[in-house]
Amino acid sequence: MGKRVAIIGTGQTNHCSSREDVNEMELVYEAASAALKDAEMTIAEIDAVVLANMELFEGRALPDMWCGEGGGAFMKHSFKISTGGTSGTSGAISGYYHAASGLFDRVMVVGFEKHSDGNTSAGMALTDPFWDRHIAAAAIGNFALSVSEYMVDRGVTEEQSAKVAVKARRNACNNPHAHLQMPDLTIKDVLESPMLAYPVHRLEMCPQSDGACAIIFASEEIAKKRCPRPAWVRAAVTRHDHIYLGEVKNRLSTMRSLREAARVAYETVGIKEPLKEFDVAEIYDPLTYAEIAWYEALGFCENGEGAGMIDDGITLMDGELPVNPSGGVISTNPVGASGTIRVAEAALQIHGRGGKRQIPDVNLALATGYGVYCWSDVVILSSRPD
Amino acid sequence: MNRNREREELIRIPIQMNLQYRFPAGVHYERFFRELKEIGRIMGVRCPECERVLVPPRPVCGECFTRTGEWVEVGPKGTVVAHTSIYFPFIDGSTGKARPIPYGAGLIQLDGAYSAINHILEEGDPDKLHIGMRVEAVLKEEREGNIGDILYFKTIEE
Amino acid sequence: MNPQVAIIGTSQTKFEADKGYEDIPETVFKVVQQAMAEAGIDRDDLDSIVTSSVDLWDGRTASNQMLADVVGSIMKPESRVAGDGLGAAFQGMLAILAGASEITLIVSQCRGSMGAHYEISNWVFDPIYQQPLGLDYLSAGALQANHYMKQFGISQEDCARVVIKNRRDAQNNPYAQVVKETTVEEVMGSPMWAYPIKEMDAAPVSDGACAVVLASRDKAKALSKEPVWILGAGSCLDSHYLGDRNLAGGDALIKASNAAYGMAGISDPLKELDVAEVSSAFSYQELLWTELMGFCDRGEGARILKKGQTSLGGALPVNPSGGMIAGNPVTVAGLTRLVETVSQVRGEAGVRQVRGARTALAHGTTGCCGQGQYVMIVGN
Repeated sequence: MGKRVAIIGTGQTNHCSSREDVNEMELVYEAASAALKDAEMTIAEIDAVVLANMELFEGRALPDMWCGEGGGAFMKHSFKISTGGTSGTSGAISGYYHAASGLFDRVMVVGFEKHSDGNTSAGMALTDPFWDRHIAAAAIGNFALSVSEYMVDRGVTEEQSAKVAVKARRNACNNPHAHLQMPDLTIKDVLESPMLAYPVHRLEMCPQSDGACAIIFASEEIAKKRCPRPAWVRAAVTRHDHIYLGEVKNRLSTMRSLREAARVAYETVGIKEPLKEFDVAEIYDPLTYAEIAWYEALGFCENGEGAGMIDDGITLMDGELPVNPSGGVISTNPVGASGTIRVAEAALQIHGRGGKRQIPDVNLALATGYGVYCWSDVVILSSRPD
Repeated sequence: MNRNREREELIRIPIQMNLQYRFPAGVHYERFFRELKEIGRIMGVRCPECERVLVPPRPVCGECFTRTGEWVEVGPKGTVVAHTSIYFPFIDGSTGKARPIPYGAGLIQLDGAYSAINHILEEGDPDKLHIGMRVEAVLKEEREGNIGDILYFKTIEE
Repeated sequence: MNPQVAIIGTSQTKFEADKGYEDIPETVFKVVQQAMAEAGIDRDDLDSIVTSSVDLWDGRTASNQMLADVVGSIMKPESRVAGDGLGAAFQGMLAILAGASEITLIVSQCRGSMGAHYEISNWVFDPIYQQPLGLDYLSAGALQANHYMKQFGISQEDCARVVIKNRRDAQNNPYAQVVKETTVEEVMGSPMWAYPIKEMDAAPVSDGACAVVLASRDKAKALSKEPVWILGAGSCLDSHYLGDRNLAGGDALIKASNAAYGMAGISDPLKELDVAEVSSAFSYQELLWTELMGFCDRGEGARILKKGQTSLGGALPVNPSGGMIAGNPVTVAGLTRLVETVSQVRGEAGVRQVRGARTALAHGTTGCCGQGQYVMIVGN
């Protein structure tokens, strides 16, 4: 690997369905400023800015041209990463490469999305003009199809899925930035919420949020000087896969891109028992069933035992491996930022800056990204540089 | 929960996006839709390396990174490998109107193909849909050469 | 200096006004195969892929999806830089320097013929102040042109001479789209689009793609007899609001090129560079960019062109390929400049070869009027 790199600061906006009080550039500025404050750094010290966003959802082209300044990119090296749902994690990984290359010492990454500015459904419907557009059932349609296979394959029940939603939205109450904070949510509430696409109910699905999240990566020397407990990047792995949904059999069960990315990442760090060795995991859960499937894909348990983990409370805040203390994507989803938020949340757990959502004694944290049908990112952070 | 600052009269600037595009179909989509329109049959292409028959037809098999080869007729019958009923009134691409809900959608593995295709199922009742059920493509009488030429897949007894 | 990243394979399509006879994956597969063949690698050797394309120009969301099969990204890492292809080359270079990859494929594609280029570019401008005015790359370019030309006393004829040079040189370039020579009279007589930019001052609508294979030092030495090293790289983003920028001042390009020169150990570009390929969507930009990158003093770009210093055979040939004026879509332009400079350094540029070229500069821009600037210096 290249130079050692750590995350020394993070910042987020308070994510919600519509930020009427700021424009998109100002939204980016809020997150970037918060990260600088967290890292006790000034913008003048930042060498490069990487932005992450899915532009068609808010009807933009090259939004980094306008919003880059909000991230402090004025007169600095900057570009935008745009890879569907994984934009946020891909952007973070790009930020890591910038610092690990030795060419840049302090790199700001800002993932952002202002869904309320545009028409996300219309943006999502702009798929292959010859093939998919006609059907245009957005992410929910695609997920529901995969869920029908998964339920038959693994025997997961509606109640188990609803438990994931309850966990997420209750966890979100500890997170001042989270969009959907529902302290009293019950399984019954979830299963009685409107059906979107059978069997997925509205409360099992992620929302669309306006929000931005910034991360500051620093090279080793700077990290050691400027951060009392840096979150060292120990692995950053990406795998893409097919873009024809009908060619991925049993997508949630197999999810080979996530399995392979995790395998490589674990091998890099020397992780053999993820459930035992990770202290916290922030995984990209676009809907409840996916979270259960990801437990299996990430090797937290055997195939078929994912739903059992939620039944046994293993992934609750006081469980053996808390998953998504932030509330996850199910609680907060500004698409371009969702992946960045996973990495930021994993980092701030190591920093010890998690406030009410802090898990005690975090030394090893996992963050994952998901996008399109089968694109995956896996990032491992540690309190130790090696 | 509204944590925004005190609300003032704030401006939203409305801008409509109205961009026209001409997408190049290439020889694969061109033949697929021509055969669908003129002959009423669904075609796939076989990868010479993995021998999978892929729908939609395309120049390269991504798994093998190899050019695809012979054209193979597939369907019109197939097996449902995944299904759902949609309760959100998405727009029907060919009519521009919202679909009546709930409507069925599925991944249908056409007979002879490796790929399943994502399309509308005639059956919209979730209790009547199951993995493994047999369906058949129902084509429009007057076809135009686009994916809407397949109206939906109807349930068949087999 | 110990360069750590090299280019070991390149490829470009013939650029055309309308490649509608084939789909985008077909076009891209061909350049990818050619670049990989030149590099002597197959798909198993690829550690990662970086693509460059922009959703609104492609007319679909997450548009890099459509390239998945043909860039070899199934079960491999792929990233996309939504902007100029030279930015994607940057990302690829950083991944190799970070030790995350040893062989990275960079691909850029764009079909100008699919949409209305200038109308699409209106969506780059912020929706509050600039977009509602109807600004696009053309009108904003015209503002920059006016500002620059007034400040330094550059005439429309000076700009026309860029077009004459580019179109003349394009005849040597088998990949160029527009290969018909022209005259100052013809350019001056072409329809006025946005004063002072006339139809023939603007890069034409263009379709095409190109690909580059980057390799780490060890892999480059193992695989290539003649790797072309990245000696320096710099990039910089200027302000978005046109009124905040010194449009003729180009701070971003000055900073980007200085960063690249610094890395490459170049203090006198005119002497130390053998050839330069710059991305100029309008004729005035070639003059402006050459000044800002220090090939001559401010305001002298037209003079050195007139003296032949930036023509083949001159002190520092600029755009011997014909550049964007000879046909190169936005987004692909910067990576094509890299492909061209690599050909030059290898001595494989055929009739457009600059004799003895060993050090070359490739330039790309993103956004309007060169808001985002990328510079790479390559050599052997």
